[in-house]
Amino acid sequence: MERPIIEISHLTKQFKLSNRRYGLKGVLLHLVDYLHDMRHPRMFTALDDISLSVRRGERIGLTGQNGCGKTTLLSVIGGVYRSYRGRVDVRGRVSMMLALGAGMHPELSGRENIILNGVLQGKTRREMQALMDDIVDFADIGEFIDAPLYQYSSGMKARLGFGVITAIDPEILLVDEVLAVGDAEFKKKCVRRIGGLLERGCTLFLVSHNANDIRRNCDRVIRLDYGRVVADGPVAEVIPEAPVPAASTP
Amino acid sequence: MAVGLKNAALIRDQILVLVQKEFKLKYNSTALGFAWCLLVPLLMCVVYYVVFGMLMRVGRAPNYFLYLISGNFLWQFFQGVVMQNGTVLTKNSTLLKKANFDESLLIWGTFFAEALHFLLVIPVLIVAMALYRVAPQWYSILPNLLGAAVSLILLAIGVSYLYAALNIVFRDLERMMRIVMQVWLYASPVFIPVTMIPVKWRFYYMLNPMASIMTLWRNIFYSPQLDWRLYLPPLIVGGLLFLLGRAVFRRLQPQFAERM
Repeated sequence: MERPIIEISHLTKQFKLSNRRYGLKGVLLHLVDYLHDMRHPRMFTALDDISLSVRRGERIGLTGQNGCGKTTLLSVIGGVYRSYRGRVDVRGRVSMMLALGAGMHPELSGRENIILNGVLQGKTRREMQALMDDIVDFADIGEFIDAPLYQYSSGMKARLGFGVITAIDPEILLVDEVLAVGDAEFKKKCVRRIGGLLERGCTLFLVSHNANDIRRNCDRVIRLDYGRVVADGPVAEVIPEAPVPAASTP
Repeated sequence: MAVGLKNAALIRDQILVLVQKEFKLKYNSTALGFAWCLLVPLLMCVVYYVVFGMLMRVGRAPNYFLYLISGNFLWQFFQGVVMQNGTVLTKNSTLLKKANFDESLLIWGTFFAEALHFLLVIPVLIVAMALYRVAPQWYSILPNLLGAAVSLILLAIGVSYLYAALNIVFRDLERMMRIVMQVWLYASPVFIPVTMIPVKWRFYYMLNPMASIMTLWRNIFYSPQLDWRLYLPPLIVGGLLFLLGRAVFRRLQPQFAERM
C-alpha cells in the first residue's frame, strides 16, 4: 500500500499568550515580570494532540467553530508554522491560500503578484510566465489585473489567489475560506478547477463553514473543536443531509 | 544534481522577484522616484560641506566634496540595507505568514536592491572625479574593491540578520537602532578625514569595520599605495558579525510567522 501523503502524529501547537507586549524598553523596565512571564508563560493550545493520516487524492473538508484550529493546522501542514510538538510528514508539493491576499504584496499589480506568489511557492519565473495567461483568464478581473492589489475587492483577491495556487500543479492544495467570498459563478469555476486537479491525483484540504461547499468538493470531513479532532469520516456521516432546521421553535 | 540546479535557479528567481519588488516600491511611490534617491544624499553632502568644510573647518581632506560624496554614498548604502532589513519581515508579513519560503531571502533581496541603487549613483562619483581632475589608481581598484565589497557584504548582511530577527522579539528596537546608526555614522570617516584621528588610536579606530571599508573604497581615488593593514580588521569583525547574525536569525526563524 502507498504511504500516506500526509502523516501527522500527536501534533500539539501552542501559542504564548501575553497581555503585555515587551519591547526592549519594557524588558529593561519590567525585568522581573518579564523573566516571570518567560518562565511561566500562559499558553493557548491551538492544536491538541492531533493524529491524522491522509492518502493521496483524498478530498478533505475541514470544519469547526472559529478559533478551533483549522487555519493553524493548515499553516503547520503548509510549513508556515515550524515550531510544534509531535511529528508532521508531508510528502508532496504544497500550494496554499490561507487568506485573501496571502503570499501577495498589496502594492504590486495582479500580474506582478502572480509571479511573486508563484515563485515564492516554488516555481521559477519562466514557469510562471508560461502560466500567466491561464491564470489571468481564470481570474477574469479585466483591467484590474494591472492595478495594485490594494484596489481589489475581496472577490478579486480570491479569484487571483485561487487562480495562482491551482495553476502551479500542486500535489497538496490547502484552501482556507476562499469560496466564501466568491459569487455563484466563481464558485462553479472553482469546483471545475479543483475537479481537474483531483483527476490528476491532487489532495485537497478545504476549510469551510458551508455544508454545501463541503458536500460538493469533499469526500471526507474532519471537524475540529478546541484543537481536537472530534469527528473524522465520510461526508454523509459527519454532515448528514437535511440538517435539523435551526429555528424550530415550538 | 538536477535537483540542486533547479533549487539554485529557484533561489535566484526568488531573490530576483524580491529585488524587483523592492526596487519598484522604492521608486514608484513617489513622482520624482530615482531623482529623490539621488538628490537627498547629494544635498546632505552640501550640508556637510558647509558645516564641516566651511564653518567648523574640520574637513580638511583634499577634494573635500569628492571625499564627502564617496563616503556618504557608501554609508547610505550600508545604512539603507540595515535599516530596511530591520522592518523587512514585518513589512512582508502577508508573504511570510502565508507562504513557505526561506525568510533570509528577504534580507538578500533588500541588499541587492540597495546594491543596484548604489551602482546607479556611481556615475555621479565619476562626474565629480572628472570635475576635480582626479584619476583612479588603476592598480588599486581590484584589490580595494574586492576587499571593501566582501567585508561590506558580511557586515551589512550580518547586522541585518541580527536586527531583523531581534526586531521581531523587541518591536521597539527600531528607535534604538536609529541612535546606533547615528553614532556609527559619526564614528566613521564620512565627513572627517582619517588623518584627524591621532596615530596611536588609529588602530582601534580602524576596528570599526566601516572605517576600514570606507578607507579601502576611498583609496581607489586617493592613495598612491596599497595599505595591506586595512584588509584584515573589517574582514574579521564583519565575518564575526555575519556568523553571529546568521546564528540568531536561524534560531528565531521558526517563530517569525507566528509572531507577526
